Amino acid sequence: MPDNGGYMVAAYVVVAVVVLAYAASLWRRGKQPRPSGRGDAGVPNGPTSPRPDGRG
Amino acid sequence: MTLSADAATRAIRRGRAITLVALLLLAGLYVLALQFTPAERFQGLAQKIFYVHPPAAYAMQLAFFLTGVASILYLLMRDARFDAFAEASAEVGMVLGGIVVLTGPIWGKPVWGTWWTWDARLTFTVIELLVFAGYFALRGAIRDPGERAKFAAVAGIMGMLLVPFNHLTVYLFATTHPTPVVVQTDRPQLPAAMLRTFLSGFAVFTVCYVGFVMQRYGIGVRRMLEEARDA
Repeated sequence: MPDNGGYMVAAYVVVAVVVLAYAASLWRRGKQPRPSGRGDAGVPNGPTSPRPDGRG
Repeated sequence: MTLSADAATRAIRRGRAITLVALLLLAGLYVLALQFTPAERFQGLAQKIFYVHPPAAYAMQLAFFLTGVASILYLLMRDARFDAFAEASAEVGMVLGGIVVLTGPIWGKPVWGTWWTWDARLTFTVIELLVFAGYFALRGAIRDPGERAKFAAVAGIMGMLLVPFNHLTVYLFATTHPTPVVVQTDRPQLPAAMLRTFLSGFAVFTVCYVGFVMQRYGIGVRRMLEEARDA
C-alpha cells in the first residue's frame, strides 16, 4: 500500500479549516446589530454637553 | 416586499443550531472515515479523501442548482425572499466549491501524479466557480436593490444551467476524473463499509449546507431591511 497518509491528513485539515472558518464568519455576521450612533463605543446616550469652544 | 426582521433572526438561530449539529456530524464522519473504514489497497490512505471531496462537490452543485431555482422564482414572483435565498445559496456554494478545488488537487497529486490537469471536469468546475464569482461581482456593482436582484437572478439561472453539464463532462469527454462509482445502473461498486461512510459524507454535507444557508439567508434579509430603511 502506498505511503501517502500526509495527503489524507492535509485534505481533512483543509475541510475542517474551511468549514469552521465559514461557520465562525456566519456567527459573527449574524450577531444582533448594535444600535448605531449614540450609545456605541462609550458615547453617552444623553444629550451631549456643549463644546468647549462654544460652537455647539 | 415581505421581509421581516423577526423571521431573519429566527432563520439565523435555527441555522446556528443546525450548523452546530453539522459540525458534530462532521467530527463523527472524520472518526468513521479515519478509524472505522478500511483503506483502499492501491490508492492507500489518500483514497479516504473520497469521503469528503465528492460529498462537498455534490453539496456545491446542490447550492448552485437551488440558487438557480430561487432566481427563477424571484423573476416570476418578485419576492425579495427568493433573492435573499439565491444569494445565500450561491455564497455557501462558493465555500463548498473552495473545499472541492482544494481537496481535489491534494487527492490528484498522489493518485494522478499531478496537482492539476486541464481535464474537462476540473476545468468546468473552475468555470462554474468563476460564473458565481461574477454573480457576486454583479451584485456588488448594482446599487438599486430591485435591479440588482433582477440581474443577479439572470446570472444565477445561467450558473444553474452549468450544473447538469458539469455532471455530464465525465461521460461526454475523455477525462482523467473518474465517473461516479455509486450512482450506477447496476449496483454500487463499493464495499459496504466504504459505501456507508461515503453516504454519511453526503448526509453531513447536506446538513452543513442547510445550516449555513439558513444563517446566511437571515443575514441577507437583515441587510436588505437595513438597506430599505436607509434608502
